[in-house]
Amino acid sequence: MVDKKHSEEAAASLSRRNFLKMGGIAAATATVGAAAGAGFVAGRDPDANVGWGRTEAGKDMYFNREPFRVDKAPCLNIAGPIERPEWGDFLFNRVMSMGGSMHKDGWKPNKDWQQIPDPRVREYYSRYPERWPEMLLSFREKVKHDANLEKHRDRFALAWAYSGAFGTGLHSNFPPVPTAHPDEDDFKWVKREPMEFQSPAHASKLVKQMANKFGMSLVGVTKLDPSFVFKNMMRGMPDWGEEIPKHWKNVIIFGVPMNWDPMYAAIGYSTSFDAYYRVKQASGLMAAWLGELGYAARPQFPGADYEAMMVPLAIQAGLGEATRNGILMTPEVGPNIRLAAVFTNLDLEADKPVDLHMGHFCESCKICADSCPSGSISKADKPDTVVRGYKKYGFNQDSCWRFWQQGPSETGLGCRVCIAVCPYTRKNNWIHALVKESDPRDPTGLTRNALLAMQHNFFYYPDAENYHAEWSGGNFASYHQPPEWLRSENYLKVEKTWEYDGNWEGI
Amino acid sequence: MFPQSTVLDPLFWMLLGAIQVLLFAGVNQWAKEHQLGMNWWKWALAGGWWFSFVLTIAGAFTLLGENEGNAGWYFLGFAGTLLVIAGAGLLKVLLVLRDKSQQLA
Repeated sequence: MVDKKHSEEAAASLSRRNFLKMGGIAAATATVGAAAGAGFVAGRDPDANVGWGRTEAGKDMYFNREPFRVDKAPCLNIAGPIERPEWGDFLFNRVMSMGGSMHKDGWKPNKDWQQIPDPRVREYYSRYPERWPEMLLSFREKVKHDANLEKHRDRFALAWAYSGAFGTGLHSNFPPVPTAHPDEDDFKWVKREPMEFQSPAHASKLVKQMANKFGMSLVGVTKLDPSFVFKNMMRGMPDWGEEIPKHWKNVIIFGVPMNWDPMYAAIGYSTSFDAYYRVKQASGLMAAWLGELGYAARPQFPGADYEAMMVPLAIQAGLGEATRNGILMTPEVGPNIRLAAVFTNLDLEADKPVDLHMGHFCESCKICADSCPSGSISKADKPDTVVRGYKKYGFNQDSCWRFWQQGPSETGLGCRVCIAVCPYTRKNNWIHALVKESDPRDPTGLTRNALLAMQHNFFYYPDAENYHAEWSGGNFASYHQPPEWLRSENYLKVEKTWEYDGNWEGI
Repeated sequence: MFPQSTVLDPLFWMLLGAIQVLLFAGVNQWAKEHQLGMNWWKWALAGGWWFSFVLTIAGAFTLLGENEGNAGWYFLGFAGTLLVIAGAGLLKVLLVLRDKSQQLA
């Protein structure tokens, strides 16, 4: 009887052990499968699309800048006398002026930049004569672009429609473009006597919340630094000198990313208009809100409605740092950010700049420069030029513009390849969040070096030439292949005659 | 695993946590059967290896999910190979230590 009991206990024990052993193997197998599945959907998760996911106001997608605040931005290194930017330094001013000269006065661009009718444009090319051939080429490339574009509408129809829809919204007249002296125009928003805030800190806190409510992903506040205000230009005024209106005291600067999946599919499937539209609307809403409380406002918004340079102001407000390609780089969305601002006479507490060691990252990375289809970005190891007193990487805005005219976008505006390929332009999923949190805190640079080793060796980057349109020697490559909702063959009655060159899910 | 889901996602993570208990109970049985003499640092090494292995798989598939196909497979191949080698090394160490303890006994 006892033996039988022991035998049953032994059998039960053996059975339990076997269950645990087999169960352990099954659990390990299930865990591996679950890790793969959970990882895959984390990569797909639209919650990772900062600014476009459902957690638009979610705290978890934002980087805590406070431990990294510094008094002086590390990327604004003064290496000479500070000069304010000229009217001609703004590419769109030059382009629009030359367009006007061509259409109204019959001027035909030729090799001699000294024959450009507008003296302000001539002044720019007297400083950069080597850039004129690129600008000259852009006129010819635009003709070629326009002649070839329709042949590729079947492929890009949905992308161009998406861009065009936002473009139509962007070109509405809100906020209205200034039409009078800023001492008058900026006060058109004011509805009543100013309502006093408890303190500038209270005002800044609320302004930032309002920016989020108006749809902005990132927002900062800074004092208006005259160094970055254009000379000789003022919207609404035919003539202007160097005066800066006294009520332009503070800058609320904010931004939103371009929709992630189209942005990664630059050039032909991407657009800046989605983000432009959103920041422009937000600048108008912010101006109207300030006016309701009795304060003057001067919105600065895309495409070309500015009196000051946005990127250095955003750096001073601590939104991010300067990059090799000249665009603001933020810890959350990298350079995938479009900026707008509002100048105001409301007293605000300014934010400090940040030091996230992004400069070191750009020194070693160079992926944007290697990928640039027009070779416009410097590949130097360190910032290699001085612009208006600040040390920075060389950037040829004329050759960049030339490539805009070559690219497979319907408007001939924008490229965005340098934004798409930047290792900082990564969604807010767990692996990228870990890296973005670790790198600025790592004084040894090991994280940066390991990350860049992976970026350079594991990731696929199409050759720079392949980003070109077929009519200029490329194959319409993009960093990522387009999302399914921009592929016309998925929805329209078109015959797919093309192959995609770009990253995809690899399964 | 189930983004945008209010029910399935938390259930998934609870279930995954629960099966880790089964997993370690199973490993404990295997370790006893093979007389590995597990102690705190052996468990820490084994657990650390498992955590790294699972994270590597999840990381690689996250890259695949965000359309970084090349990077995902290369990362899995590179880090995964290193981890398999490290895992084999860890197992060898556990077996060698077992044999030594048996010889001393």
